[in-house]
Amino acid sequence: MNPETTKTKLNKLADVLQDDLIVLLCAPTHDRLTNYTSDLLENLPTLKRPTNVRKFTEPLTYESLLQELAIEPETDVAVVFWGHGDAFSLLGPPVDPKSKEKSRFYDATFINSGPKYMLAFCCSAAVGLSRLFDARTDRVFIGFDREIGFILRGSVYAEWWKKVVHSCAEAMLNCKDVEDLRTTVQDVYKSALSAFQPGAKPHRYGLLMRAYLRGQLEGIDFVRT
Amino acid sequence: MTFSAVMAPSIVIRPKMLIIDDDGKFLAKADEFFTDLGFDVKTVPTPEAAEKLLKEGNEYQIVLTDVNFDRLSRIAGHDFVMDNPSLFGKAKCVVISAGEWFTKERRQQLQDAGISFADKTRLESRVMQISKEENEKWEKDIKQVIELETIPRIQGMMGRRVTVAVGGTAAAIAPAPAPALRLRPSVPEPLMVRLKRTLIQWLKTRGDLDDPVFAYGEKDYSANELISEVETESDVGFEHILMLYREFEYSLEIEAYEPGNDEDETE
Repeated sequence: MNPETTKTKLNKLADVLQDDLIVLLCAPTHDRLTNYTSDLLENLPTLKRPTNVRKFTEPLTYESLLQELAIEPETDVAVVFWGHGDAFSLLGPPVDPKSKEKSRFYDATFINSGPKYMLAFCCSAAVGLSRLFDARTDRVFIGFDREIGFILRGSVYAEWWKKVVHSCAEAMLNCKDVEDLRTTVQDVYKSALSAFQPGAKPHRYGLLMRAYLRGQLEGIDFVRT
Repeated sequence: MTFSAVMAPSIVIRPKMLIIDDDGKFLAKADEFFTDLGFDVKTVPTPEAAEKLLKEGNEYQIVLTDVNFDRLSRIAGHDFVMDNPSLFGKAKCVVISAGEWFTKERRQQLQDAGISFADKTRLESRVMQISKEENEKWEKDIKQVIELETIPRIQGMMGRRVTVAVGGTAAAIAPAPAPALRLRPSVPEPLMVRLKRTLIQWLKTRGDLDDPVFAYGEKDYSANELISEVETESDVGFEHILMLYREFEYSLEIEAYEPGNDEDETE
C-alpha cells in the first residue's frame, strides 16, 4: 500500500475514533514461517483502533516505519510483531539474501522511541527486551522467554493461532493490570488446549499443537509498568 | 513438576560485571539494572578500590568505569584502563563518559586497545551490544571449565546429578536463545528409547511426511526432518521428546483431579 494513502487512512481513522493510539501489525515475510504468520496477521480480526498492517520482505526498522507512516513522537503506538526473534531483537528479512543473518526490526537502540505496547509473538524476546520495557514507565510488553513452535498447515490451527494472537493483542491494549492481562491470556490458551484435547474431535497434529500451545503458555511473560 | 525438575536441579552461573563510579546514585541504579539483566554486579567508587579488588582476583567479564572521579581520585577512568591492561586480563572495558569529550587521538588509542566508550545515557544498549560479542567467547571458555571441573565437583557435593545453564537470565546477552548451552538432564536410557520410538511413530503416521508442517525456533520441519532430529537427539529433537513427556504428565490430570468429583463415586 502507498505510504501516503496509509498515512491518510490512519489519520482519518484516528480522527473518527478520537484516539491517539495507533496499532502497527508488523509482519516480516521471508521464509515459510513468516509467510504463514504474515498472512494470518494480515487477516487478524479488528482491534477497534486505527491499525496499519505492514508486511515487509526487505529489512525495515521500527524507526523507519514510524517515519514512513509519519507517526508523530507524541502518538502512542502498539506493535504486534509476529515472526522470528531472539533475546534482544525482533528479526526481519536477511540483510543479504545469500546470508542467513537476519536484519533487526527492533532492538535496544529503539527503546526510547517506544512503542508503548509491544506484543512480541516470536522466540525469546522476553529474555531481554522485556527487561528494557520493565525499566521504563508506562509500557506494556508481552513475549516469550523461549523458543516457540507452530503448526503451519490446516485451517483449524490457523484459526486458533489468529485467535490467540488477537486475544493477546486485545488484552495488551485493554487490561487494567498485569494480573488481568495474565488471566485473560491464560484463558485463551486454555480454550485452545481444550479444543485439541485427545478426547475432543481428533486432530492430525493435535499432540504437537497442544505441546506448542503449552510451551507458549509456560513461557509467556508480561510486563506492565 | 516438570520432567527436567524431576531429573536434575539447575544452577545458573551469572557473568560478573565491575562498575567503577563515584556517583552513588548512578551506581545504585546501574547495579539494579544490570543485576536485573542477570549480571553479578560489584561496584566500587574509585580506580584505587578497583585495583585492590582486581588484585585479589579478576573474575570479571565486563568492567565499566567513569572518567572523572572529582575529589575521590586523581586517576582518570580511561587512563586507569589504558595503563593497566594486565590488571583487567580478558575483561572487556567500557569507559562511561557523562559529557566528557575525548580527543580524536585519544578515541583512537582507546579503540586500538580494545576499550569501548559510551555515554551514560546510552550505556545499556552499548553494554548489551558488547556483551553479545563477549558472551560468545566467554561461553566457549567457561563451558569447558564447567563440564570438566564444576559439574563433577557439585555432583560430588550433592551426591546427585545437576544441570548447569551458562548465563541463565544473562543469556539475555547471548545472541542465541538462552537454552543454547543448557546441559541436558540425563534421561534413563530405557525411557529415552521408548519416548523416541513413540514420537517417531506418531510423526510417521501424520500423512505427507515431506510437507513442512512444523515450525520450531528458527526453522520449519517436515515430519521426516523432525524424525531425524529426534533420532539424532539434536537440541530440537530433545525438546520435542521432553514435550511428549510433558503431554503424558498433563494427560494424567493430576492437578485437575478432585476426589469425590468423579463418575466413580456415582457408580
